[in-house]
Amino acid sequence: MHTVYGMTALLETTNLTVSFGDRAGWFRPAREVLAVRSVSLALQAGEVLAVVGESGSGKTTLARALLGLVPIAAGEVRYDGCDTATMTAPQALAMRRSVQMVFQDPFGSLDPRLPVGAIIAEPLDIHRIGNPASRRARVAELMGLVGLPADAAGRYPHQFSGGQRQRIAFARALAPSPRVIIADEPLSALDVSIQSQMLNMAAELRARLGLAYLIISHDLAAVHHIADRVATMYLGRIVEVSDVDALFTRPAHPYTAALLAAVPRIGAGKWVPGAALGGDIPSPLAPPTGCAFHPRCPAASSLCATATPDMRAIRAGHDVACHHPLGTA
Amino acid sequence: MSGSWRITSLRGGRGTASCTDDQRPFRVATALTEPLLVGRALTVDLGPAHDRTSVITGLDFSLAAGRTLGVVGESGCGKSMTALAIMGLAPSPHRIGGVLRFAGQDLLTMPQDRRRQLRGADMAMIFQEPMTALNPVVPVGVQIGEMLIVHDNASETAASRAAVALLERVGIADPARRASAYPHELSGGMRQRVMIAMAIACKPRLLIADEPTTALDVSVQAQILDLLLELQRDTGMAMVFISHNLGVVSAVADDIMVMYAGRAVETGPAQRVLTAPAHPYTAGLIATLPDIGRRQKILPVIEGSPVNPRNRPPGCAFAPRCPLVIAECRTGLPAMVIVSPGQEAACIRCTA
Amino acid sequence: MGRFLLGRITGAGIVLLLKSFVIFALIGLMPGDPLDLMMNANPETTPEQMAHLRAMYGVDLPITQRYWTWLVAALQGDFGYSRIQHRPVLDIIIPALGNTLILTGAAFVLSTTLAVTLGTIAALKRGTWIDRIINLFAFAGISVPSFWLGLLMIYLFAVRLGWLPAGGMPRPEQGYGGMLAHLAMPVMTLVIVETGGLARYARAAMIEVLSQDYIRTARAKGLTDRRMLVRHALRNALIPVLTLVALQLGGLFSGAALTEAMFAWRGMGRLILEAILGNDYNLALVCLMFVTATILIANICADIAYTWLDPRISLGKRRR
Repeated sequence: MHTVYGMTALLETTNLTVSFGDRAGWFRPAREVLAVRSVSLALQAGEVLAVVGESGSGKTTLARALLGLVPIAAGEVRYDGCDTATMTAPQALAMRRSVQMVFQDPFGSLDPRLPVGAIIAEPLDIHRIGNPASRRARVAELMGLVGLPADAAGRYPHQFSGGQRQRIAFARALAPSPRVIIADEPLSALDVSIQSQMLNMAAELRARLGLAYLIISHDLAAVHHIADRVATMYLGRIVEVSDVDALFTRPAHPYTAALLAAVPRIGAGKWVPGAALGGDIPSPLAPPTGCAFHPRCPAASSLCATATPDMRAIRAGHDVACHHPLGTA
Repeated sequence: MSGSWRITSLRGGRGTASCTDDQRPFRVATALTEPLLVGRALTVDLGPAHDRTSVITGLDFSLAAGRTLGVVGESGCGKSMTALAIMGLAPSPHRIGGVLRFAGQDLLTMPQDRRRQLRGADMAMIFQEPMTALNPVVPVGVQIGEMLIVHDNASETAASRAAVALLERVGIADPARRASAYPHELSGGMRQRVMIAMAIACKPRLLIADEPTTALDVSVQAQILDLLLELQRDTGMAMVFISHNLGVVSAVADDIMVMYAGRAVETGPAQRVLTAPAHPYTAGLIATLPDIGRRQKILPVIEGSPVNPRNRPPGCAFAPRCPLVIAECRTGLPAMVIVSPGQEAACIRCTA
Repeated sequence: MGRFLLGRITGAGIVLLLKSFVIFALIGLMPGDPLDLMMNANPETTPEQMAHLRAMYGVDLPITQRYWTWLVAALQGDFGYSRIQHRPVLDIIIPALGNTLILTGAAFVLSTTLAVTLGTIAALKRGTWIDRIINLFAFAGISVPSFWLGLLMIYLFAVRLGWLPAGGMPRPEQGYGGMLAHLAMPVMTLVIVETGGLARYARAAMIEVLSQDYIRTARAKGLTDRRMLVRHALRNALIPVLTLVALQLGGLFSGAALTEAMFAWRGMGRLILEAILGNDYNLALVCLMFVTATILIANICADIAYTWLDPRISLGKRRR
């Protein structure tokens, strides 16, 4: 499943594993926590792929591993067909320009001492793109793209609202003309009325610039709105990947189904207690045997407690790692 | 996958045997003639006398026992301040005007110490961030048991026994062991359960929940909503449920108050307000939400950002962002008018 | 915890070892040696006699070799003799160390208690005249030089009023009363100087804690102000204060040297001063080692206190 559609994926992982651990002590063996376990995922050019899951599912670590911010324990990350581990320096530089990140917190991720123009121009300075005059022009162009007023360049981040700060973060990410934007919970710190503005902006930029997005989110409604494909993550593993409509109308993994059922919807009437998925996500220090979801799964069998299910296609473009996928029995 | 497990109303519910009045010295008497909580023309001004800013203006609400009032709005609209004003926890210096009554008693003229005794015992509150809302250096069982020591004169041993029982009541497995845990040793969902156990320790008649699920995952959010509704059904307590998430409010509230820039812009029965909103702001909020099963190419938006009550424009505060704005909106403050039975909105178009 | 302590004690041992070598080397680098002093005292010493004496005392050996000899003896409990007092240094140091611990210990307990109390009151009454008076007191304490304060007190309480002895040590027959009378002024000097900064720090820590969400929760629980303060605020505020307290412990020793000298208190500070001025190298060296060891032990105690105050800190374990 590395090459869907028969072409090279823009950003792709094969059996990617990320582990955190501490070294062995005098009287204690080394401990290892697998934050991401054997994840194979491909992002095509121009595609919007969302990764959903509870906190602790490893989705943020996956994003950080794609950016090379955490060391990879096993498996590989490929950009444009090149393995990041064996890349030449110019290839690595090209990748760093082409894969940009937008963070969750628009308050913490912008340097409060720099004017907005300098913040947006920073990637241009780092990658030595253009000369000072062309950089200024590029900053003005970027601010127009994300809908910031022209006089914003000289002002400081604290003079802007949360939504506008997220626009600044977006403009900064767009500065080196990336092909991929990785966004970690880009909406969750924003007001409801601002979230829809951001979603529309992201969609418009994608159409105009041909961007691909990898969105990490727990907001399933927003994911449904913007994503082409969705991957569900649980305890470090991808348990289901599908195009968005199939996933939302016919979820095959009981975990995805439970997440969808847990979203309260306007007009659905008052909540009736008793239907919620029980328990918490287990500690990655002591993951359950077999399928990691089986202790919380309403459909678990004895098989689930012993054998880890492999990813398999249940229909075209819809893969699931479950012994008893929903809607197939 | 949905529908089968939702019904439209939960009023009535099971008996309220666990809500017996005990020998607590200041248990308030219920006035049969008025709802449990009443606010009339409530205003909150913050800051010293020479530099006051009005953060809440002319708020009217009432809440009966066993019912839930959902308070909806974006950041800075005054919804949390409303909760703090009810609890008597508005940051000092402040001035609170209008009427605020709880169980037939005037909260605003009550002596401070009497007000303190009401807090925790008869009206309790839970907060958005259970990690920071719990004391990091005190075991959770002690934090829960403390409620009974302070309000019911319980002994240390009785309090710690009660804390374990309360932890069990809110669905924490192995409660005896968890009682001695510190907040950082628990998951986010468990911490919020601890907050709830603390809040219900003295069987309050009013529970104020300020964004209680915002910091939680959807699956844990569902568990917490389950728990709150179950507790309400069993104890008959009233709830003020504050959230910016219309879906969550829709799931728990009987009535809704939509706030904008320190004022209520629309109130009414929850399902009515959410399915047939009368105020353009309410309508906008609902329309801008992406919804599962209703995929649109471009989302409708409310332009601009929420206005701070400190620099509220003259006239209708929503006018600068309103798609239906007319000249009159910018001059006169629209009054609340009845648009359907029980539903009121403060919009000039509803008056016309 | 056990592993942590083991590690810390090992670390402290290494620090002591390094420090002993550095001090030893510095003393060795100083111009002149004990024999020069002997020669100055007796001008008739011939160069031949000098060479003989140098060889006998081992002063002509390279410094590393001399250090090794000293270290081996020291590890066996033999810290050598004092040149001036002609007694084993240990016999001189132990009573002096006891005196210093009495003085600094009393000053430390008093100043910490006072600082936390004043800081808490100032934080609670922030912006009022009470806060301003405490601030004024704190700044006065920070800025006043201890020798001037000491002289002022001697003039006032000993010379003018005659209430307290001007200095020196109590005689054994004077009992606790004599001890208190002799301790009063040096302790007061140290307390006034040490309290100011700590009180300002405690105030800031308390203000920070009072703005935390869990204090809002405590108020929402209907706790009395007293219970909120004692059960919820104080312990959290003490966590950052402890850091400064641990740092001040070291400062208290060096600050005490001046105070000890001023009030003729027979403590370590005074002993070190005398040893250095009198070129009593061995005594100075061992004194400095003991002071270092005391500070290291105090810091280990502070680390243990951290875990007691803050359950989020678990020693020896790395946090997630």
